[in-house]
Amino acid sequence: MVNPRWRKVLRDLTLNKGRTALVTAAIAVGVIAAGSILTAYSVITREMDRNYGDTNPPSATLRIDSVDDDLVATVKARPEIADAEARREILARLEQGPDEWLTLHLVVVDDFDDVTVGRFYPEEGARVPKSDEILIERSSLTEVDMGVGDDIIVTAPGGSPRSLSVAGLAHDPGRTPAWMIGVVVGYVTPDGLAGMGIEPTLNELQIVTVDNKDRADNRRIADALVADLEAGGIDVQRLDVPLPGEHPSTGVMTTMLFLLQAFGVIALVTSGALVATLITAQLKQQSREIAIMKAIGAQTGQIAGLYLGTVAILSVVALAIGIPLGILGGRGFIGFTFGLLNFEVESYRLDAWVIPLQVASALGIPLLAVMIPVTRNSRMPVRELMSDQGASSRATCPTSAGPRLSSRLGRVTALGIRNSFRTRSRTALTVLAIALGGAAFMVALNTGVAWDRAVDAEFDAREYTLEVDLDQPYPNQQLEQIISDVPRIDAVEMWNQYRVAIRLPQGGAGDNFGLLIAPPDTDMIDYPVTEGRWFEPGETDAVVIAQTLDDPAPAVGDTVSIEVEGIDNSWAVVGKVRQLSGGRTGVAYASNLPAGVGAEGSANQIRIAGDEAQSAMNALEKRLAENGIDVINIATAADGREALDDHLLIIVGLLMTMAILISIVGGLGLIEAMSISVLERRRELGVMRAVGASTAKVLQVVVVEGVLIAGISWLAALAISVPATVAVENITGNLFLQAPLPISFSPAGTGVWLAIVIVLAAIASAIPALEIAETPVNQALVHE
Amino acid sequence: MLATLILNIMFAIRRRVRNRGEVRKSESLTSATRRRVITLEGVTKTYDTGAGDFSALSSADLSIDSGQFVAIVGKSGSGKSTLLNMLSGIDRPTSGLVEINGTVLNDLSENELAKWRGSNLGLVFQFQQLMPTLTILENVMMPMDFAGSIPTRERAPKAMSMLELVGISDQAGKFPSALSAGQQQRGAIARALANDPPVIAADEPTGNLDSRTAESVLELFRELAAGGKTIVMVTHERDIATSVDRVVTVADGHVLGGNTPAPNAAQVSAAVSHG
Repeated sequence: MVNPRWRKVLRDLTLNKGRTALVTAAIAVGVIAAGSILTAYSVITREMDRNYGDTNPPSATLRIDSVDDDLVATVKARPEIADAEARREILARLEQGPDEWLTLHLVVVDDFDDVTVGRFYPEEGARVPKSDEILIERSSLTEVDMGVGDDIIVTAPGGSPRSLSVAGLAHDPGRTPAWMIGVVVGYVTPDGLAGMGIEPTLNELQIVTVDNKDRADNRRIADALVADLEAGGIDVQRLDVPLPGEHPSTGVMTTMLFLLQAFGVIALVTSGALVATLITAQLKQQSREIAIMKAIGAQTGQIAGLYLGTVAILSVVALAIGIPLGILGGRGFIGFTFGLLNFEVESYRLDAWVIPLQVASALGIPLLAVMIPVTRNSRMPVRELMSDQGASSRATCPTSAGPRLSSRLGRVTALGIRNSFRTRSRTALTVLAIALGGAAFMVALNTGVAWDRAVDAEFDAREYTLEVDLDQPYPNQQLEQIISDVPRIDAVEMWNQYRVAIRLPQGGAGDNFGLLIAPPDTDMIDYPVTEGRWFEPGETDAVVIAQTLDDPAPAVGDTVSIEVEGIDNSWAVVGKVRQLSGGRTGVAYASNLPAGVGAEGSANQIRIAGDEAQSAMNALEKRLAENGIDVINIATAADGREALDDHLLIIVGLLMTMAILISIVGGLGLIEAMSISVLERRRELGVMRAVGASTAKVLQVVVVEGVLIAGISWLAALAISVPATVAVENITGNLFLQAPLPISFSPAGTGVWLAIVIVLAAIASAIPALEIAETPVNQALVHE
Repeated sequence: MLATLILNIMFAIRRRVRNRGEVRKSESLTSATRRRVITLEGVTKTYDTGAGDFSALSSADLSIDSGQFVAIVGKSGSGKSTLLNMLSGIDRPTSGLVEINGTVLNDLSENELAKWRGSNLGLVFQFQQLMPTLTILENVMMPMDFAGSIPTRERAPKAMSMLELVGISDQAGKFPSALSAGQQQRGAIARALANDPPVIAADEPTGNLDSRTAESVLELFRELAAGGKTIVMVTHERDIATSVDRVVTVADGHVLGGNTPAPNAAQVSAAVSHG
C-alpha cells in the first residue's frame, strides 16, 4: 500500500499535468541530449577505431624507386615488422567533361585478393579490375557523375590518356572521403598502369610494426629499416610515419566530439536549472501545504524526500522517454557523420558505461539542481511557510527610485518592472536557465562566424586564383611561353614545392610537410606574419613556417635541418605566418631552392591570378598537355575554398543542431517561468481587475515583467557567451586547424536570440494573463 | 500616557493574582486526577517588521492541566494566535519558557519540533487545511505516516476509527473538496487525533463554520476533553464561556485571565469584539 504522502506526490503530479509535463520534458531534453551524445561518443570512438584499425593502416610508408616481392619478403621477415606490402599511389587526372579534368588519386595494387596493408573492401561490381578497368572508391561518387559500367578517360604524368571501364566500387574507410578534398580515388593493377603508358613499378613500401602503438617507436623502426635499405644500396626518397591509429579525419571527429561533450554538459545544466526553477515554483505554491505537513509532524527529511522523490519520479519517466530517444538521436547522428566520413557501423552496441552514466546524469543533475531550494523550504519554520505569499510583498525599489520609475514609465509599467524582482531567487534561476540556452545558441552561431572568418582570412591572403602542380620542374621560360598564349590570365609566378621533413636532433625526421619556394617578392600570398618577419631581399637559407606546423614545431630564431630531394640544408626560421591550409601537418616557405635541388630558373608549380579561373584552368591544362607537360593537380582557389568549407560542414551542422536543441530547452524554461509567475499573481491581478484595470492594463503588467526577465536573461546570455565563445573557438580551432579561430561574434545570432526570448516571453506571459483576465473577479480573489 | 501606565499596573497585579490562584488550583488538581500539561513562563514574542519591532506577546504566563478545554479569546491582533503558536511549537518565543507535556520546546530544533508535534500535539486550523489531493481517510493517515509509530497495516483501520469518532466515516473515501466545511473540519480534527496526542491546539476551528456546525465541533472538543485530551482553542465565539472549562483572555499581547469557571458571555464578548 502506498503511503499517503507518496499518494499526495503522485496525485499532485497528475493534477498539475502541465507542470509535470514541463519538468519531465526539461529533464527528458537533457537526457535525450546526453543520451545522443553518449551514444554517439561510445559508438563513434569504437567504430571509427574499428573502421580504421580493420584496414590495417601502415605504420610507415617508404618511397623507393622500385619495390619487388623479394624486398617485401625481406622486410616482412624483420621481427619488429608484422606486415609489409608494395603499392604505388600517384596523382592522375580524370576527364569530367570536354577540357574539364578532376584530380584522380590512383592506387596501384598488385594483388587485389591479398591486400593486407591499407585494406579496402569490394562494394559493388568486380573486386579485381582488369588491365582496362578501374575500381572507384565509393565516396568519390559525390565528386563525379559515374557508375559501374561507365567508361572514363584517365591520364597520369608521363603517360597518355586512356579509357578505363569502371568495373566496380570499393570502400576504403582508411582515406579522407572524396567530398572533403575534392579528389576522386581509383584502384588499378600494374597492368592497368602500364596501359596508361607508365612504368608499372610499385614505388611505395608500406610497413606495419608489431606494436604499432607509438609513433616514436614506429619512426625508430622505420629509420632503422631505411638505414639498412640505404646501406644495401636502395635509395629511400621519402619516409612518412603517421600517428598510429589516427584516421585522416580524426581532427574533424575530435572537434566534433569535443563540441558534443561541451553542448551535452550545457544541455544538462540548462535542463537542471529549468527543473530547479519549476520545482522552486512548486515549493512556493505549496508552502502552506508544507507548513501543514510540518505542523502535523512531518520532519525536514520527510518533506525534502517528497520533493526530491517528485523529481526522482519525473526523472525516471524522463529516462524512460529519453533513453530510447537519446539512442535514436545518437544513431541518427552517427549515421549522418559516418555517411559523411565514409565509415560503416558494424554494431550500435553501447559501451557498458553509457546507460548508467545517462541514468546517473538524469537523476543526479536535476536532484542536485533542486537540492538547495528543497532543503531551504523543508527547513523553513511552519509560521514562515504559513505566511509565505510566493512573491515577496516587500518593496523592491529604493523608496526614491520607486516614484521616479512610476512617473517616467507610468504606474502599470513600473508595477511590471517591480514584479520582476519579487521572487528574486526564482527569477535568478529562470534567468540562468534561459541565459545558458541563449549563451549556447550564441556560442554556436559565433563559432560558425569564426569558422567563416578563418576561411575568409585564409582566402583573402591568397592573391592567386589558380594553382597548378606539375610532375617535375620545367624551365620557367617554357612555362611562361605556354601561359602567354592562355587568355584571361593577369599575373603568373613560378614556384617550387617539395615534400620534406625536419631532421630531428635525436635522429629521424618529423612529419612530412610541403616546402614552398616562392619568388622573394611574391604577390600571390599575403598571409599575416604572426611572429618574426617575412624574407628580406636577397636573404637565403631562411624559412617562414605556417603556425600549423607542429611535428616538430620550431620556434622563430631556431635553425632547422631540412632534407630536400635527399640534400640536407640548414635553415634559419625567421618568421611564422597564419595559414590554415597545408593540412594537418602544415606548410613552410623557403627563401630559396637549396643548392643542388631542382634547376635554376625552373618550377614545378605555377600560381596564376586572373578573373575567370575556371576557363583559364581548362585552357591552361589543354595547352600544358599539348606541350607535353604533365599536370598532377590543377585547382582554382574556389575549389580550395569549397574543400575547406566542406571540411567544416559537419562542425557547422553540429553547432546549429546543438543551438536549436538548447534553445528549445531555454525556450521551454522561459515559457514555464512566465506562466508560473503570472498564475501566482492571480489574486493580485484579480484585485487589479476589481479596482478597474482593463484587460490591456493587466496584460501590460505581466508582459512588461516577462519581457524584462527575458531582457535580463539575454544580457546574462551575452555575458556568458563571451568567455564561452573564446574558449570554444580556441579549442575547436586548435583541434581542427591547429590554430585558434579568430575570435568572432555573430550580431545576427545575438539579435535573433533577443527576438526569440522577447517574443516567447510576451506570448508566454500574455496567454495566462488573458485567461486570468477572463476569470470572474471573485474567483481570482479567492485563489490560493 | 497616565491611563496606559495605570492599565499596565492593573494588568500586572491581575496577572500575579491569577497566576497564584492557578498554581494553587493546579496543585489541588494534581493531587486529584489532573496534571500540568502546558506551562508558559514569561513568554515574549517580538517580530521585526518593516516599521520596527512589534511585540506580539509580552511576558505571557499560562498553565493548563490535562483534560481541560481552554478557550483563548481576544481581539484581532491581540496575540492569541501567537500564544497558540508558542504552545504548539509553530513559532519560537523571543524569550521565556514553553514546556508541553514535560518537553521544553525552546530546546528543540525545527526538525525535533515537527517530530514532537507528530506524537504530542494535534493541530486544527480555521481553514481546514486538508491536503486537497488526498482523501479524508488518507489525510488522517498522513500524521501516522510521518510519525511512523503506528504499524502500516493498522493505520487505515485506526484512521477510520478516528473518522467514526468525529462522525464522518461515511466520507472516508472522498476528497476534501467534496465535503462541507463542517465535515472538513471534523476531518481535520480526526487528523489531529491520528497519533493520539495528549494535546489538541485549534486556531479558530469554528471561525469559518455556521453556528450549528460550529456547535457540533465544540461538542466534539468537549467530548475529547472529557476523554482526557487537553484542548486549547483560539476563538472568536462570543458565547464560548458556556462551552469550555476555562477562558484565557489575551489583550495587546498580555495574558489577562484564565479563570475557571469561564467568565460570563458578556465579558467574553467584550474581550473578543473588534471594537
